[in-house]
Amino acid sequence: MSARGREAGRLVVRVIRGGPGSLPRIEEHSAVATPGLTIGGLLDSLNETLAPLGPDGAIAWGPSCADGTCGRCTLLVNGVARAACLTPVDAISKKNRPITLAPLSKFPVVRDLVVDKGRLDDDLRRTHAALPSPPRSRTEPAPTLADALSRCTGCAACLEACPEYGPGSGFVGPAVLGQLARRVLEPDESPRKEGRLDAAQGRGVVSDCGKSENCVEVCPAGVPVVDGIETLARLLTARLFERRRAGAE
Amino acid sequence: MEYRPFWLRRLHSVTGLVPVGAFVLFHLFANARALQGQLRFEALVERLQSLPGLRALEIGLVFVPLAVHAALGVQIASRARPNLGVYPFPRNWSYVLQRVTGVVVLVFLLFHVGTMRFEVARGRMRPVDFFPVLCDTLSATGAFGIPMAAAAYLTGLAAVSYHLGNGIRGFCFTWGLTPSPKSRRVAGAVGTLIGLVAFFVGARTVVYYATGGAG
Repeated sequence: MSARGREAGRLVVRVIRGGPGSLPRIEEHSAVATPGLTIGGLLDSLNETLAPLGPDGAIAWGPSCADGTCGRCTLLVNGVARAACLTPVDAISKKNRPITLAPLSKFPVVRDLVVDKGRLDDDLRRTHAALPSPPRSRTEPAPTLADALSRCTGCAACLEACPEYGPGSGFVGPAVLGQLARRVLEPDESPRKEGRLDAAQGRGVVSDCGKSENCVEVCPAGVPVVDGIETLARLLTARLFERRRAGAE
Repeated sequence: MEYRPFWLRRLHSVTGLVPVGAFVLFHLFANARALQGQLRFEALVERLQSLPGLRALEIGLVFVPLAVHAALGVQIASRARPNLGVYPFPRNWSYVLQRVTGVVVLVFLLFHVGTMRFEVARGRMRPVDFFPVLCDTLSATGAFGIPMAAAAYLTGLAAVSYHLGNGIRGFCFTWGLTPSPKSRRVAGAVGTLIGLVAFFVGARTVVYYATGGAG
């Protein structure tokens, strides 16, 4: 296989494969780059060749809705967290660089490019938040902050990019903070607002945000996570002064 | 529900601004009085030294808040897992630089306070000696004619200025004062301006001393 990433429209694609209990291995493949091809489309085309080789032939990577709404195809493309179905190959494969596909590094690997995002579900439950079901489309107008936060698909790109989030950290991460903010802001959730603010004030929640703002840079759905985190901080500040005033009276 | 981390983070935030940040600006502007000559500088030092309860003010409004801010800051920095190589975004750079400059400031302050304020506390220097000592120290050159102490002061000053300026934006974020991208840009601009002013004022003073008090 040539060391060049692209020859006459062909790409070199390296895929980190494996599963629990086995050492990861790098498989190198060649693929044809066509205009408009996405990473998801690239994986599908590779699997057309690999699937007939047996049950472990095809690269596990989804499944994916192919329109950025299911949040299940997030992976590392040359080290950066991206949604496979929304990432054009042309945007990645420049200057003859091979494309390296790997599973998200902050979650346990199930198989190949599929990871177990159970920790995200646990943290959502712990903070009385939840992912929007279904998420608002990226193209649909979002008049309020809560509407914009409801675009989150739980893809975990923000968690991968966050320098405070990881296996050894107790931080719940930007996705959970964004959804906690959404639940606090939604009018029909107001009876549970105090309980959610209590959760926001707890260990590993708002206070652990390091303000790198990588979350908004990598979010494929354009969720204004940082606005949500600051809104939680503002509500907690307001509550602090309200309680002091009430205590003084 | 465990709320201590929340309160400690807010304590770290507020101590960085008031009183530590306010003291930094006061200290830099006060020291800039040296540019008006040794006599004017020493008159200011004498006035400050005669403040009632000065020791208590120094300990309560400077040393203790600074120690608290530094201790919590080291803990915050130790948790970071920088990923600039993969995500070289501007705010990610700020995230890393805030932690790096925090450590640089801590080292610089141990050196600066150790060679100045602690020497006064130990009776080995008097406040009236500050001007000549700083002139001698900052104008001294080492190998290749490089004024090493002045370079160290300028490095420490740059770290302090960046940490303060970026920290103002961080304070606003922590307390939820800037919940929109525009308000965060404004806070960043204000912080940058204050940081630049701090550096300019402090650097002028360092250069003045480094040129023997004649520049």
